[in-house]
Amino acid sequence: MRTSAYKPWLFILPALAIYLTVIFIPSAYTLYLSFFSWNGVAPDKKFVGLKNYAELLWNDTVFPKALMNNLIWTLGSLTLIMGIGLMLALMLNRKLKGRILFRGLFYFPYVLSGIIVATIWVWMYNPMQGFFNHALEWLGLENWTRAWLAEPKIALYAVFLAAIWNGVGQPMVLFLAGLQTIPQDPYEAAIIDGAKPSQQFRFITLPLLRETFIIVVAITMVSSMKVYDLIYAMTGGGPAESTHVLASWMYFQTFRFANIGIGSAISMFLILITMVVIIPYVYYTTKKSHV
Amino acid sequence: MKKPMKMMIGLLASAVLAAGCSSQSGNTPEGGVSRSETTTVSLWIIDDQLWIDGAVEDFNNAHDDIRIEVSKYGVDPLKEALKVAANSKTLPDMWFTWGGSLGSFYAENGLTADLTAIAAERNWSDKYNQAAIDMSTYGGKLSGIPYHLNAVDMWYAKDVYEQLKLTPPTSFEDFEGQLQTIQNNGIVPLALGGKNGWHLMRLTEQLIEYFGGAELHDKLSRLEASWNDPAVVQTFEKLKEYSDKGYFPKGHVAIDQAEAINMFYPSAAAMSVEGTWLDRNITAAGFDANNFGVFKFPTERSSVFAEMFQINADLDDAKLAAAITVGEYLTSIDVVNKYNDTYGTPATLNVAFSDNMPNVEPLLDMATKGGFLIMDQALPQEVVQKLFEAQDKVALDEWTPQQAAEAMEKAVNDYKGRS
Amino acid sequence: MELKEHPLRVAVRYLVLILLAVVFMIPVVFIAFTALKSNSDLLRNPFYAFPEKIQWNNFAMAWEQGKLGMYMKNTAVIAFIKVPLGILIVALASYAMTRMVFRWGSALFALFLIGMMVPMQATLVPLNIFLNKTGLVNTYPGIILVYLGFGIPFGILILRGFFRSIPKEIDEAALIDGCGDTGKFFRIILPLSMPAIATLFIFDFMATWNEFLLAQIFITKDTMRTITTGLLAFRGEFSTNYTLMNAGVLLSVLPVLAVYMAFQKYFVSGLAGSVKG
Repeated sequence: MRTSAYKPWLFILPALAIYLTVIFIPSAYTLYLSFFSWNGVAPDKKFVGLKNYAELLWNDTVFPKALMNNLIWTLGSLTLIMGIGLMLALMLNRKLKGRILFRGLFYFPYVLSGIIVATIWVWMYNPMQGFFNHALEWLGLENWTRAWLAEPKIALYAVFLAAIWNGVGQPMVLFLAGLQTIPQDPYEAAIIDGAKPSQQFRFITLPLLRETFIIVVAITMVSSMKVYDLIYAMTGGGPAESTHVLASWMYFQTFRFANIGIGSAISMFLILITMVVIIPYVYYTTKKSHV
Repeated sequence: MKKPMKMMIGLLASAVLAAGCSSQSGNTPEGGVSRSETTTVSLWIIDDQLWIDGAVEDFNNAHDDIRIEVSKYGVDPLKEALKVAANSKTLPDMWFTWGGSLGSFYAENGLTADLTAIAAERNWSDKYNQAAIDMSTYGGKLSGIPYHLNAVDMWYAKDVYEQLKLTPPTSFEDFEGQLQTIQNNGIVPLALGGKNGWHLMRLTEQLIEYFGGAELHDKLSRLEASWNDPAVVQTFEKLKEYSDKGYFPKGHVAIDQAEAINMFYPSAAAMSVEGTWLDRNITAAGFDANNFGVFKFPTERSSVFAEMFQINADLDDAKLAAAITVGEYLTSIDVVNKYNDTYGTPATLNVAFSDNMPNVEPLLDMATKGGFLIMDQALPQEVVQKLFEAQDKVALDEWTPQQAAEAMEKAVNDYKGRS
Repeated sequence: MELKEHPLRVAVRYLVLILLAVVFMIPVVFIAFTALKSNSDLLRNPFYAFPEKIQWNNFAMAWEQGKLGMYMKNTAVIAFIKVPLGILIVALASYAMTRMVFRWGSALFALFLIGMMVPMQATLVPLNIFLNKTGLVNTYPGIILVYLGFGIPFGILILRGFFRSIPKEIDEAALIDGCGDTGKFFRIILPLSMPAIATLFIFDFMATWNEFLLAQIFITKDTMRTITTGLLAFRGEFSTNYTLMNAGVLLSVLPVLAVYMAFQKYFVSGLAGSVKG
């Protein structure tokens, strides 16, 4: 294929130009700010080098917990949210009566913004008047009732349950789209050869879904590291700062405490950690550079 | 979406973008007649101040020389937008803000106009409640036009009290006795939520006032006394005790103010710690404000906080004068009285109060006997956050009251060390 | 899959789906209940109970008080410009990276990917300065530009991945037919990518519709604000009107659902058959 050397650049230029302006340069500025101690408005910033990073790692009581919470969240998302999404996509890819209705139903929670999801789920979790505890009592399982969002050990998981509900729509739709690219022929051939459904899944579906998997894994990982809205709205980072994640702690530092340097450093940690995992992952799994 | 269609939209969009880049930013005068003499004053305010639209329209219709342009924000978005604007030097001409360490940020960084001289000239001490003026003053300079003065103290549900044959307590022992009685009768004694900390904090600060006295309380707020103090330890002990005895709603550390107060309105709880705005909320929720009364927590002073309009320090004289006019108008007796159903509790003196807000005057009266600045505005935000954490941990048994006091002292020292 | 399956398998599948669907809909039912209650009903009775008296006019009140009509129109303008434009831009870039001889393709892809990890809050101040300096603050072009920027990494990830799965044979056939790059792009690759484009449209539209932080900060004029502002109107400093807020939410998600229903028809199995031959 003979293409002139500059033509690809022409194609990529709009995206590149906008991206650099809106995302890249502001992020570089954040990186710059992470080396300073500054409140955002004072005329002088104090250069402190890596002190903000050190502060977060050794002195800050919330940062390590937040990081751990993000890792738990990522693990949970990759298994439960992605898993359930995949399962739903597989089931709803077949010719099924009411398929469109089901797809809409499972997708619906995904379109709701964090605030409304948080409102309803917080009420459901209310220890005295909430749905969950009342349902448990009605079933005679009183000792299972809890103050779900009030116990540091389980609060994050309670929020995560809401996140599963809110989140499966995305992987489901992505996998559905990916499944459309899988042609019929391999399945027909396999069935003629006597392959069982589980074998079909393992040897045909999964490999052919590879690109989609890469995408979904990357997206899931990144949004797990960036998660903010739902947690902030459901717990405010509490109780006792036990459900903070990097993004929410960054918000507190930047907007409540006016510690711009520390907030920027947290952002950098977030970007770096995600980068270290995602870039090699995507690059390695897409070794074949172009068609 | 068909591709020719998409191309069209893409081209159209590019055209729009190109056109947009050269157009002005947002300021389209509505009347069509451009009055070169007109000074526009931009004002940022939170969006639940429903009276503002009517008042601004009245003003704009009556004035040829000044126009108010309002931008409304949600509560958290306003705080964010102000911070972002401060950092990028794009603050509006005037903005609504809370007092204490929320508003001091702008004053201390030279972003607000110093109104001390203007206030003296225009006799503001006759116009506004002195407490509000004091709370709008930072480092000796008046940094905002007082707008709201809110007083916070104890509220109780009259029907619950009648049912249990109680009258508002007059001493601390009385108060604690009532907590137990109410609890024995299966009603939640104190509808307070610990989520996000500030609701429960209204009790915490009164306990500090009770155990430590006014002077120590103020010193603690100004970071001039050690938080590792017996009074602080006793406060945390009480928080733990009340939590253990079930005086708060179950799982209160994760209950927010809304869930807590939603038990209070239908009288499923007996008391709460709320402020001068609550009558309006009670009515809006479909209940009768006259079923609720207020009493003084057994301390001398009430918790108070002010809200104000700050003015951009970078305005030229003409704009500053216009902003002052606008500010005085928005807080004038006429405007307050005209919109008193939705205005909120004014800092303006000599205004009328509506009948379905029976608890405003009693609360303001309590406050005239003395008030301290509400703690989540008095303390630096980082220290406040530690207080919230301590409230939670003490109830969850993760910290002993002594450890909580020590953690507070450490947070204060860390904060001082950083600045 | 067309082939016959054991009836028991099918029955189990239905059962699982129905059970899951019911569980999934429970919170939605609560939202609906709340939207249909009066405030005192909400507070006096358990929130998950059926409304005492159904308040259909909550929807009308939410519409009016939240000025939802105006805000929805604004958001629609922004979304219907941003989303197709964004898809076009991203498709062009993905095409360059996957189907053209382009040495820098992989490096640029990595560069774009980094952007996916940047939290929005970190960019607020620099973007605010930029928009103010270029006179783009408080304009639709300004916010659309910002939204485009944030949508690029996700879009490239999806479209690039999808383009890569289109077999080389297509390109070779096109070359034989005398198709240049532009022709190939518009007449072959794009149509083949409808599932991915439909996916992007769905997600991008929803993300734009629900976007909250940037819309609040970069648009200050009330008449230009988006639907997320309208919904915020129900949360006050000291209280929140939950019944109206829930009603407003239900109204505001209708367009997003409509877009989803319109585009999800591209997720019909069998479309892929056309790729082979």
